[in-house]
Amino acid sequence: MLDPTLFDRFTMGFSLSVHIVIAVIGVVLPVLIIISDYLWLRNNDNYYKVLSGRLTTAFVILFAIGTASGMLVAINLLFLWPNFMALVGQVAMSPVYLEVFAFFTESIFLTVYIFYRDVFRSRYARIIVMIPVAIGAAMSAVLITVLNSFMNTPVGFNIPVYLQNGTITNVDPFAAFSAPAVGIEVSHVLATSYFAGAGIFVAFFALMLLYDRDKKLRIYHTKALKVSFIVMVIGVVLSLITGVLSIEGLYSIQPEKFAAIEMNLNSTAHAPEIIGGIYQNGSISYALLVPDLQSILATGSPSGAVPGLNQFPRNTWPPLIIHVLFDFMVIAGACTGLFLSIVFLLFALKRKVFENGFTLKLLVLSGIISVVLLENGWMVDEIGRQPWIIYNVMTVSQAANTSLSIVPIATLIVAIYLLVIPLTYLALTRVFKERRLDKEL
Amino acid sequence: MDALLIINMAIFAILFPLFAMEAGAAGLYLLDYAKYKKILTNYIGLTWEISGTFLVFFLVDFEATFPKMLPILGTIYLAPILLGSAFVIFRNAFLVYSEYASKSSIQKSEAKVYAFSTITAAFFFISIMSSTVTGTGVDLNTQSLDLPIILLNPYSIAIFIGLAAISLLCVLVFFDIYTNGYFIVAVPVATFSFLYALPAVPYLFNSAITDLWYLNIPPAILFMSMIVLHTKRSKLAKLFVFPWLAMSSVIFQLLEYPFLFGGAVNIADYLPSQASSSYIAPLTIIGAAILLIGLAVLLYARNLSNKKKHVGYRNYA
Repeated sequence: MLDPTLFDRFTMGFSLSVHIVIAVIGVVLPVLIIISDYLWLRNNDNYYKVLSGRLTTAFVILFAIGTASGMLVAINLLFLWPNFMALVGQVAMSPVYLEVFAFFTESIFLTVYIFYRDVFRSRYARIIVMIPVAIGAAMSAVLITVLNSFMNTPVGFNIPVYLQNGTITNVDPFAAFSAPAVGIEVSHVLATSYFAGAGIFVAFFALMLLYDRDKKLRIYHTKALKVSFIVMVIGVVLSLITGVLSIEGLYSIQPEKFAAIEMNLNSTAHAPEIIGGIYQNGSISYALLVPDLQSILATGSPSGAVPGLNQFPRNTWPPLIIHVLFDFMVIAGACTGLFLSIVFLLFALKRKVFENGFTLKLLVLSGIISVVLLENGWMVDEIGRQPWIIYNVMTVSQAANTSLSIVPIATLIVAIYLLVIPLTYLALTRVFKERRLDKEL
Repeated sequence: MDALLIINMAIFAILFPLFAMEAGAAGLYLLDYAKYKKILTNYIGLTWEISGTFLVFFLVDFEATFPKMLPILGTIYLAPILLGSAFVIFRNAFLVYSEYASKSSIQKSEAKVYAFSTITAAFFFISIMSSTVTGTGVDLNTQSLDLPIILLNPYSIAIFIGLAAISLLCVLVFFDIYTNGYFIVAVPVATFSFLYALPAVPYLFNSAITDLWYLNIPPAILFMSMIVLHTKRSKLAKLFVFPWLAMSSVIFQLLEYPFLFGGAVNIADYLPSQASSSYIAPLTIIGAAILLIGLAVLLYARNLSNKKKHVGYRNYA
């Protein structure tokens, strides 16, 4: 017998995993366009004008796909998790509602930019028009993360009464904005969006440089790579800082998730950092332990006590696979950050780093890893909240639509994505690879 | 009437003309792409994102206005809404493929896929709305639906044909495309379609609102616009199109209020508490202000562009 909840999970997970990538590209593209426009206007360098034009076309294509995919995600939320949305609709809908206006800002000013960017008296006006698009895109990410923060640390209604009899009382519809997890989640999501979004372009332009033989194309791709690389470096530095802050935040506001990602079976002082390892028969095997490090990172003191899973009922523990995912995220993130910092240092010292084939190959790899880290971080957040959809309030099973009609629909949604993704890739290829640079210059 | 419902109706009243006009334009694409491309491309290019955003806005506002209804609707309408949404994805995708990244050899085919997807999405959404109004194909007790009946019942099809005729008519008026023969066909087709669909909603005229004077407004505006068109003052007639569609949608919603599903459900019972919905009015005001600023910038830029074109033309002349 098929479990409809499993299909709900799969459909939601698949849609979100695709949507996240499109969304982060949408967050970073306006910033890349602004920088390209600025460099074009300041230096009168037509290569940046071409870059801005191509990025704008890519943005329009991805905006259209992102809008549709975003709508599909909204509909998924509504239909796959109706009980969840019934609660959110009465308690924490304000960020979602406000997000629509961020979206409006983005779409109207993008329309102005596409059709009328050249009509203003000042040439710099095009940058001013793109700024609200960048703000709108970032705010969309911020506001949807506010909802996720509510799911992790619910506030804004009387939870004991709700758990007792399902009645929603003492509602404060704006409380979601001050949910305890908002600060750490929003800052980390924004930083990683710029990191991974720019990473995709770094990978693409670095790859192009590896194969370019034409002189003009090499100049163009080098300039494009520099623009996206700078954004990626800023993104990775901010991601590392906010990542560390997130762990500290989890320690105090989401102790169960903290214990799971650190695989702390017992609450203890002088906690070692557990790297790797497998949980079996109530104990951890094959792990590398770094004495006191976890206590130091979480509390600032080697003797600080950290929470353990023994403080929580066994049936509410998240799947401990997130410990492995978390370790991968930290190690791969730190290595990528270190590599990008070295490249940035050499770049700042005027070394010709983007002419070195090995560096370019590693930049392609860094871009790919940035997307893997993005998805990985999202999985750590979501799996770390299991079995809850709203922590300690509603489980995923309670929220799910259990109608069997979901099975063919889930298959259809996946099929649509599988059709649209390659078609969009082909469309983007036409923009970046098949256009004649000579003509555009 | 509750302020939440007024906001919800207002959003739908803006969405409906935007989407109806786009579906009408898509219809012309299907009929003769080469002939109408130049006329329609600028309009669709300018409005498709805003229509799409309003669609999302309506969806989110619906979730905020009827949160208690979501578990019921989620179970019943899962299949048709997701199928309709699939065509919205194709609409977005193939429009941008054809406009921004197409090879000339396949541009026409991509535009036609866009047009077909837009009309099919409209068909799904009209069928769903028609079903929520009439209750056709829905069993509220078992919270189940009969998809073929929802999509293919004669009332839904009649409403779709009527709206298609009207949308096409509005597009022809809005873009000064004079095909007198179509007017002669479209008006009776639309009228008879709606008359045919009326028996499915007998409760409409027994609703809480008994003063039905405003029912005369849409036919009056339609009549006036036809007279204006007849005298060839088409610019004036254009001004009627959007308000007419918006007003028609509001009037239909007022007729329906407060019932759904053939009168079986009173929507007022599903509204959230005052505390739960207290954010909607202030945020809508903030949002409306943002929207107005954005639209003002859009109109200003459009004006500048038109002036530049005029100056360019004079210089050239």
